[in-house]
Formats: sequence, C-alpha cells, structure tokens
Amino acid sequence: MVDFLLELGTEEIPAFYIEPACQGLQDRLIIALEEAHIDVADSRTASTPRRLTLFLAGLPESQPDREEEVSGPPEKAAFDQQGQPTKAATGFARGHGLGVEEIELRETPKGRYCFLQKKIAGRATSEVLAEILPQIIARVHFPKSMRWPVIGAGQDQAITFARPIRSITALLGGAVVAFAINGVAAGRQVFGHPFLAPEPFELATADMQAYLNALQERSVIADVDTRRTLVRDGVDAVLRTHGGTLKTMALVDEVTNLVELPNVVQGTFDERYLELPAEVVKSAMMDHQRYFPVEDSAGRLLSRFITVINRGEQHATAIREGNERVLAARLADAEFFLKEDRKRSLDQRVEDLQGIVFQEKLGTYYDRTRRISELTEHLAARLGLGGEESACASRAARLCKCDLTTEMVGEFPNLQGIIGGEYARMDGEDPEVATAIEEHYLPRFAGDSLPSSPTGRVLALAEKFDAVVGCFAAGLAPTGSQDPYGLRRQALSILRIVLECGLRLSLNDTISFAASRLPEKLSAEGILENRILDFFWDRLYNFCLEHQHRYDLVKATLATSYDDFHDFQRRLEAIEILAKDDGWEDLVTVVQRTFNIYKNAGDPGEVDEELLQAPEERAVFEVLQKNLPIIAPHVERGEFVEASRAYAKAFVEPVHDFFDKVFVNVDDAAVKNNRMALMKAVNQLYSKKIADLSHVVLE
Amino acid sequence: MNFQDIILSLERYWAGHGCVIWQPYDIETGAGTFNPATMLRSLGPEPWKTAYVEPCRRPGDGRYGDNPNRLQHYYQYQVVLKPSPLNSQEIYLDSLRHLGVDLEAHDVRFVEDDWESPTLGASGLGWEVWLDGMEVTQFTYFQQVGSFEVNPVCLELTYGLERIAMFIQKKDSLYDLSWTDDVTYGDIHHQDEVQWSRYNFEDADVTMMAQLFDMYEKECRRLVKEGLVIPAYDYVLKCSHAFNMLEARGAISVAERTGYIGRVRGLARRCAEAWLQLREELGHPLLKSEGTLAESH
Repeated sequence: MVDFLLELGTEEIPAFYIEPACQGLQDRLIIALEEAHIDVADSRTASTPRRLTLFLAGLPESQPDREEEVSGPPEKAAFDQQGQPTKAATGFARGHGLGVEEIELRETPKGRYCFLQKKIAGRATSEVLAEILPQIIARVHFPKSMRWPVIGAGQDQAITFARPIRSITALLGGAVVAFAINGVAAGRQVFGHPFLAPEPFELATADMQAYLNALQERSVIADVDTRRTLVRDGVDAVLRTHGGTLKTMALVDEVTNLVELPNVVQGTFDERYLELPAEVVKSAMMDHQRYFPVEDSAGRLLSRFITVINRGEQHATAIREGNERVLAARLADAEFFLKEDRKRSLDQRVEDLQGIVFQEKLGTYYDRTRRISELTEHLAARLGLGGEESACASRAARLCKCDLTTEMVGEFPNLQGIIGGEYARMDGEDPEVATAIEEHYLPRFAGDSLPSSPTGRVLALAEKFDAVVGCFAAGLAPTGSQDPYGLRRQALSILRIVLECGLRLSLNDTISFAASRLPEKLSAEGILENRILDFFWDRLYNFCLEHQHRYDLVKATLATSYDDFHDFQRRLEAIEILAKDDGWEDLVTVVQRTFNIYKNAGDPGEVDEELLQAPEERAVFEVLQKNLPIIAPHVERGEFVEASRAYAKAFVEPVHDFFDKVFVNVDDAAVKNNRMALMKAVNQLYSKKIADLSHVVLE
Repeated sequence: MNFQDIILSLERYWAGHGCVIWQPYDIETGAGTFNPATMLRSLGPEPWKTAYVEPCRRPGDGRYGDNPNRLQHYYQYQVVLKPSPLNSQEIYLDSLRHLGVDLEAHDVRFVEDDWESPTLGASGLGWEVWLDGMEVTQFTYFQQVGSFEVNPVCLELTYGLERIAMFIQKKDSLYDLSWTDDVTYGDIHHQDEVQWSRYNFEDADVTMMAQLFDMYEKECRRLVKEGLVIPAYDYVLKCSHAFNMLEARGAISVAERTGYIGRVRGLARRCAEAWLQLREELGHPLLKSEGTLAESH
C-alpha cells in the first residue's frame, strides 16, 4: 500500500474557484482510478490561492492482475477432421501469446467457438497515474479559464486553467510520478509563502501531515478548515470586544481564500464618515476592500474596520496604515458624492429619468416610473389600502427610481433603493414613503426579507409586474439558459410577497392592467397574457416542489386555478389533508372516472332531466341538485376540506352505482350526450372549484 | 522617491529587461492599452517587449480639482511582454522592490480582476495588485484583442503611477505628491483639472464632437480599405476619445452608448484584421526563430 500526494502550484486563483475545483479534482481522480481497478482507501484536500493539493491514501502499488476472455475462430475453422489445430487456431493462440493447447471450445448461440483465458498483468499505479493525471487536470472546471505560453513546442496540446500552473509536485510513496502539464514537469519541490519563505523545499514522500507541517513552518496554512477557523475566530474576537458578533460568513469564506497566512488587523477611520448612510460605509468596506465592519452591541456602526492580512503580526502596523488611507479615500469619495447629490432633492430629479433608458422598446425610466405609479394605484385599490397608505404608495412610486440619477448609486450600484430611501428621509418625505422606496427591490435573492409595510409591498409588486410584463412584451422572455433581466427571480419575489403577506390579488387582472400601460406597438395582448400566465404557472409549480409538496397534487390544484395565489395555497393544503383520508381513493376515482367519460366529447351542454332514463342516472342527478347548495357555501368560505368530504359523501356511491349499471355509449345520441353532460356536471363541481384530481397519481 | 524618480526607476528597470522604452502616444487615449505599441503589437505571433508612460484622459472622472483621489487626466506606466514569461509575477514584484517597496513588510495581494475593454474588443484574465489594500497595478494575461485570440498570450502590466506614488510617499491627496523635490503634482496639474473638468462636463461642443466621431469613423474605414492600417488605427483612438467626451457631457443615452461602443469595436476589429494581414505579408520580421520560451533575466 502506498500514498499519493499532488500539489498544483499556481498563480493566485480567484477565491470562489478554489474549493469547488479541489473537490472536483479529488472526485474525478478517485473515479478514474477506480475505473482502472485501483481503489483508494482515503482522501483529503488542501488549498490556498496558490496551490491545489490532493492526498490519496492506501493505494495498491499496481493494478491487480486480471483475466480477460477473448474469443476466436469457430471450431470448424480452428480444427480439422482429425481434430488437429489449423493455422487459424495457432494464429489465434500465438496472437495472444499462448499455446494452442490452452484453447477452450465452448457453445455460443452461433455454434462452438474457440476461447482463451488471457492473464493481464496489472500496470504499476505510478504508470496509470502518469497517464490519467494530465487529462483529469485538464478537465477541472472553472467559470473562466485562460491560456498562457508554454515552454518548448507543445502550445497545441496546452490546457487552459484558471491561472498559470507554475509548479507540480506529484509523489507516489517516495517516487515522483513522471508527467508534465504545459511544459511544467512534476517533481518533489514545494514552495512556501512567496514573500515570507520564498525558498522551496523538497518533499521526501507522499506524507500529507509532513507536507502541511513543512508549509506551516513556511508561513502557509494549507488546510482550509484550519485557515477558515483562524479567520472566523480572529474576526469574531475583535467584533466581540466592541459588543458585536460575526454576521457575514460569506465574507469569511472569501477572505479565507485570499490569503495563505491569515492575521487579523484592526483599523480606524475618521468618525465624521459615520454621518454617511451606514449602508454606504459598509459597502465601501466590504464590497471592494473585503473589510469587516464593526458594530457595537446596539448595532450601531463604529469608526473601525477589520482586515485580514497575508503577513505576520510583526508587520501589522505599517499595513494597517496603508489600509486606513485607502478606506479614508473611498469614504471621502462617498462624502463628496453625498454632498453633490444633496444639491437636489429626489423630487427634483424625476425629469432626469427621461435621460436613462430602461429598455429600447420599453422607454426610459421616466416611462417606467409612470407605469409603476399607475399600477401601484391600481393595486393599492385592489388590495384595500387606506387613503393615507395609498397616497404614500403613490408618492413612493413617483420617487423610487430617482436614485438612479445620483452619483452615489453611480458609484455603489448595488445600493439602489437603499440610497433612494436615505435621500427620501433627508428630503423630509413621510417615513413610510422612504421605507417603501428602500424596500421596493426586496426580496433580492432566495431567503432575503420582504418589504415590511403594505406600501412597500404594493410598490414592490407594481415594480416587478411592470418588469415581467414589459419584458415579455418586448420579446425578452427568459429562455432555457438566458434570463438577463432576472424575470424568474422577479416572478418568484412576487409569489413570495403575495403568499407570505397573505395578499388577495388577481393574477389575471394585474397582468392585464400592467399590459394595458405598455406602449401600443408591443405584442398583441391576448397571446402576451397567456405566455405570462404560463410563466407564472412554472414558477408556482417549482416553488411548491421546492417546498416539498407532491407534484401531482400541485398540478391538480394549478389546473383548477392559480389566479389568486392565496386561494390556490389553501386548496392545495386541503387536498394534502384529504390525501391522508381513508376515502381519498374513492374521491379521486369519482373525479377521474367522470372526467374520462366526457373528456373527448366536446361540449355536451346542460343536463336535460327529461332524457334521464335509468334509476342510477336519476339518482346521480338528484344528488347533484341536492348537494350544490351544501357544497357551494363551503367553497365560498374557503372550507375546502369540508366541501371535499361533503362531495365524497354525496357522490362516491351513486357514481359507483352509475358506472356499474349504466352504459354511457349508447346508440341514442341524445341520451349518450345527456349522460356525458351529467358526468361533466359531477366532475366540474369538484374540478373547477377545488382541484382537478384527474392529475392525481394513486399509489 | 518623488514622482519623477518613480518613472525613471521603472524606465531603467524595464529597459534592463530588454523592453523597448516606447514613448507616450501623441493622440488622446484613455489607457496605455490603446497605444499601438500595445493594441497592435499584441496581435500576431511576433514577440514584443515594451514599456512606456502613457498620459490617460478620462473625461468622466473629472472632479474640478476638488477630490483628492480622482483625476480626469493621470499617468499609467504600461508594460507589455509577449510572450508572457514563466516568471511573470516575479519580474513584476521585483519592479516594486526596485522602487524601494519592502514586499515582506507590506501586504501585496493579487486579487481577481478580469479586465475587459468593450471598445477594443479586448479581454484578459488577471488581477488587481494591491499594496496594503490599495490597487496599484492591473496585471493581465490578454486572451483577446481586437476581437481576435491572442497567440502567444502576452502580459500587460498597467501601473497607476499616482497610486504607487501615494503609497510610497504616504500622501492623502494626489495634489500633495512631490513631483520633484521642489514641485508638487498640484503645482503642475491642479489648474488643468479645474479647466478640463469645466470643459468636459459643461463646455465641450457636443454637436462638433458627434460630427467628429462620424468623420473619424468614415476616415478610419476608408484608410483600412486603402491598405493604410497604421494611419487608420489613429482614427480608432480619435473616435474613442470623441465618444468619451460625448459621454462626459451627458450627451449619450444608455441605448446610444451600446451603439457607439459597437462602432468603435468594429473599427478596432477591422484594424486588427488588417494589421495581422500586414505583418503576415511582411513575413513576421520580429519572429526571428521558433523560439522556446525562456525566463526573463
């Protein structure tokens, strides 16, 4: 048994590429080795921006010997009348390095054929590795890869990689595995920290612990978890001294992959910059500089920051000063932008929106603001907002895009909305208006919070509906892989806001209204609205599946209606409860059997009482008459479980008897049609009001 | 080290590495990349090593001399090594040591930044190089220029000279930088910033700029057809600058912007194509041997 260690020494690989690449390398190599009959007992990875390392433990020194069966000529051709081998037989045997006497004759579907058992000696593991490693490394996936010049001839076979590979260490036990990538030959040299320990060292054997220890002595913490813990605990310790805690794990992950030797350094900035909006200060720190902001126990920002450096503690002071100067410059810029921006209020900027194009066919942000305002007014009325709230919503709609004309948003584009809210506050707008502006982009991603006020929600919905409907009309509907306007996310946000805030909205009505605000020359309304409805069907279906709902129950409920999401949700919940009832199968059967009868009939029209003949037929009709006034009120009050149980209780037996005794496909067209009409009436009483159970899959 | 010495140090360092010390181009450019010494010479198989100062004009970045960190005119130091050497990072870092920067005591970082110039149809992968958190250089392995794949891949180093000077001199304002021991950066450029900012944002004749763009574009196309790619390329630069001026004046809407960029990119591509053809017709004179890649000394 022997161990294998591989290190690819590279120029700095982008932080988010590193861990997935290492994982991919590990997975692919293990699979490839297993396919070559070389099993790996254990594996481990390590990485820094400058190295991807893989360790495999417990490999056999070579592949196992194996036997392979080869087939040869048929007996007739291989042996003559006297049973002596022919040239065909000797040729076959010799070709595989064996004697004629080793040939076995066996029956096959085609007759008796010659077979030989070949022994194939296992190849040395090092040979197999040398062969497969270049291919495995070439296939490591990165979002973006690059080419670079190769030593000697060989540019044609050069692979692409995230960044240039400058050294390769590959040891199997104590021996180097001989292969090369882009002119770089594998050896046993390893480089430590390029600045703190620039001289390389040699690794004697594939010993992961020895490797990690040697690197640590040379200022590299190659084990990712160890390094991440150092970053996390280091930052957290500083935050706690000021009363705060670590909230931004994503930044910890990124910073972990920006350094080889993490050391936490605290810096300060001029307190006057705390007058800037907190989000601006944080953005200046985190987005470009990857600093951690520091808050006190009350959540107030302090004039401090934390940076993780790639040097030892002894150099912290000078490095801190440099970082402080950089941050001061960024904050000074932000202060400048604020001063410039405050020369005009948001309201004074509305006209400027005519200078910013939203989309070629959908006009400027001025046009979009007008549409959003009209849709906001419409939704405010539909959702029953009071007079004051409506006025706030309208005001917020008018101002919500004005921050796009500011210097601050120009510099910090991801603070759209937030800057609008801040500036609204500074302008003395109603706090409700300011909050609505600030929140109207929410939720921005999965798990993000929703707008907190009714005005915010109405504005957020109006803004997103305008985007979805407008983009569809302009021919920018998402395709399989492309969704440049993020319409899927916007539709999902609409779903979340409506469902989680319990809003009673009509999808049809909203889409219609939004479409009516668009420039006249865009697509014919009918087709457009159907496509958008289908789009929402997809989003709602996927949303339900992600929340662990049964796909067939979701489809059944969607088929009935999804115009009012809230109502849809209640109906889905109801049939999920019913699906656990003993009577579930019977209920589903009624709906399915009745559906199957009339589904190909076209429209059979209304039931004609005069044409009812069989007693079972009449019985079903009477049950229908009697139970309509019982079931309908349940449905109206949203009591879908009760409605369903009442339906089942009324119809299961009579419908069962009907199918037992009554033949629908009689020659008399009128009677036949009438029976279909009856079945349709029974079916639709349920499927048009609660769920179309013909989609249900019974176990 | 004052500003002047920084430049002289870099010139000497890169001359020592066999670079042709080029001179700044005599047409307005937004970046050292636009200089034909980079843009055109990075195309095709011929090796090339050059280094030069490039004054850059970015009309939209003007701040009337009020902002201590931002200028509409500043200096880049541009280096191109084609093919990029094996020890690319080391040679760059040594240039910083040559400037007196102690790389052990300061936190040098290579932070992912994939550079792109839509107007030149150019892109590459690489990094911003940070010194204690401040970006001082763009380090890029070109993959594509003028919409053509670059082969061999070349290295472009673009130093922000003012940034490096701020770091070395520990100044908080660009204008306080010592250009020489007696003269500051502000002494030289502050008034320029004031007047140019006013011109770029308020005063430039928009109609004239738009007309110039059209005229330059027309001339560029004509020259390419005539087989005069070298003069033609000058007009790409003129178009690009006219576009920058129009943008700074707020005369271009977002939709129009894409259109203008596309037009400049189209011109750049034509020139790139014509240049490749020209060099091929000349027999790639700088390609003296099918050389193997060596380390730069």
